[in-house]
Amino acid sequence: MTIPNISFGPFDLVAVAPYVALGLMLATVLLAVPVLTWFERVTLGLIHDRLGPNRVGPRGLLQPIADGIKLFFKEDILPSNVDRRIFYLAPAISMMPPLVAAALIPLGDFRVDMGGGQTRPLTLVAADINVGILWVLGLASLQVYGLILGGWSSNNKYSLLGALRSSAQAISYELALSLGVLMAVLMSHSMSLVQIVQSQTGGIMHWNILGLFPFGLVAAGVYAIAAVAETNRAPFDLPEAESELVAGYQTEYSSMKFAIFFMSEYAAVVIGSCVAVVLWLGGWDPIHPVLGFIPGPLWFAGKVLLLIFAFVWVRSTLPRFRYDQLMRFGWMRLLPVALVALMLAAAMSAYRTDPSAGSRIPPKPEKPKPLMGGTQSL
Amino acid sequence: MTAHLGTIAFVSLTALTILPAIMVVSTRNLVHAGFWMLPCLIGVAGFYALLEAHFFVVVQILIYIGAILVLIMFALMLTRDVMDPKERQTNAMGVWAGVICGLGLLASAHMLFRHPWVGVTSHPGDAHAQTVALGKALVTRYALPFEAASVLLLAALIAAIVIAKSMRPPAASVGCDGEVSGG
Repeated sequence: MTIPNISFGPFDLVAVAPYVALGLMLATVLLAVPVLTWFERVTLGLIHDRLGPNRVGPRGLLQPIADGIKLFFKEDILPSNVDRRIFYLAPAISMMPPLVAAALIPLGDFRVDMGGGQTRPLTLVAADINVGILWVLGLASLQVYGLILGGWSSNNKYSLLGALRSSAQAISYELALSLGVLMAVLMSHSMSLVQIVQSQTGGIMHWNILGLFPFGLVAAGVYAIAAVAETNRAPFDLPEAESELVAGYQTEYSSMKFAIFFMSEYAAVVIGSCVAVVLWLGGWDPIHPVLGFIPGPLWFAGKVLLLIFAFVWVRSTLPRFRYDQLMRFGWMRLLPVALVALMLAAAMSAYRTDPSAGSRIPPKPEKPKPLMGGTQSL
Repeated sequence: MTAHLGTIAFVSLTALTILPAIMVVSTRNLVHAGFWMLPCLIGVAGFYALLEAHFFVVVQILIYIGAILVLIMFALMLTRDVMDPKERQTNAMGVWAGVICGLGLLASAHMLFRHPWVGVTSHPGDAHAQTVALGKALVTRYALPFEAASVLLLAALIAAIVIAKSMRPPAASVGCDGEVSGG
């Protein structure tokens, strides 16, 4: 959609857009915690057929603020035998990756009216990196350090078990996550988050989830499962597992350090949902071009909210995995399915771009190309 | 000016890589040693960034920091006596290993100084082109080394499974002090 150019002093809208995007995303990620705790508890209450928070403020809306104040004023206990430096560092490390990943999420596409009938494209994103999706994966893999460091430094057997579980789980499900993401890259022919969204323009039939049917669906499913596992949410919340390990890696944490672990989990949920929307649900693309009058960022936010609801829904529905079930499912079900789907999807994609590759008719002889293109070097 | 900034970046990255590397080998606490590898590997990723090898930056973070170091930490946390300050840090071969490594360092330094280096100012292309070129090279010109590496990794994988299987106790007696079963 075309929007008028607004100037901010010496800067025009195009120059300001990355900062706007960054500000929006950071605000979303940081504000996600109070809003999502409320949302989660209300939704859980709804699904469990009970009331949920309803005492503080209208419909319990002020409950997160009360919780926040409570956490802030609680005593910050430092157990005597913890590894102090790492104990302090761990919550911060767990909070860092989702905040950095927030800079990579594209929120919308506009055309700016520069006056005189000229328009310029404008993408609402803080940093459009060519290998953006790999960055997101790399950051997701850093997330686990917060858990490992916190669990180990606590010097508590429950914490250590939580840390061990989280590291094994992260390694196992990262593979499936990467393979799922790879299929989106295969469909969109790009690793830039902006280009992945742009390749899905034109309504729901163009979205990657329905691309290379049925492999888009399979890949999105693999991604969804692995993303729940990577964010350590139920039914994959074994690192925390309050019925087995007290509170897992965060047993010894109290007050705001505990709250930061809590925040990082929700921030990861938000980022995971954003990435899923970018990869599979067309980002800011409306469900049908007819609905294009609704601004892209609103579409984006709506889809993200839908996925966050799915996160809560899954949590309220499925019981926690046992450790051996978790490993067996990850390595013997999810990974083979993802691998086979990736291979078939690659074959299908190659066949679609060059049908002769799959048939028995020998392809037309073409000029032998130099392997590396002569001038290019690695 | 940009060359100047490049030098500053290079020097700080070198510090970021080497100081933690020294900590890795000198700290008494094995788990700390593992954690010190984190900034060290990030420094290496920074070098790739400085060389504009965007793909390798991300792969370095994804593979080395995200997977290999996590595995190392996993193994270290299962190790006994990780924080024993009385444990010796070197073994009997330490001196000889030092001599051999020192000679190797001298030899490679000699080669590096003799090599007629050519200053390159061109840019290696954007990340997309690099990634495409790398992918093509891996399945065409470098297909054989690539496959050989895969076979090597497969052998290591099978070996790991064999070792893990033979270590399994015959009866169900796992579960003492912090051991996890499965995996």
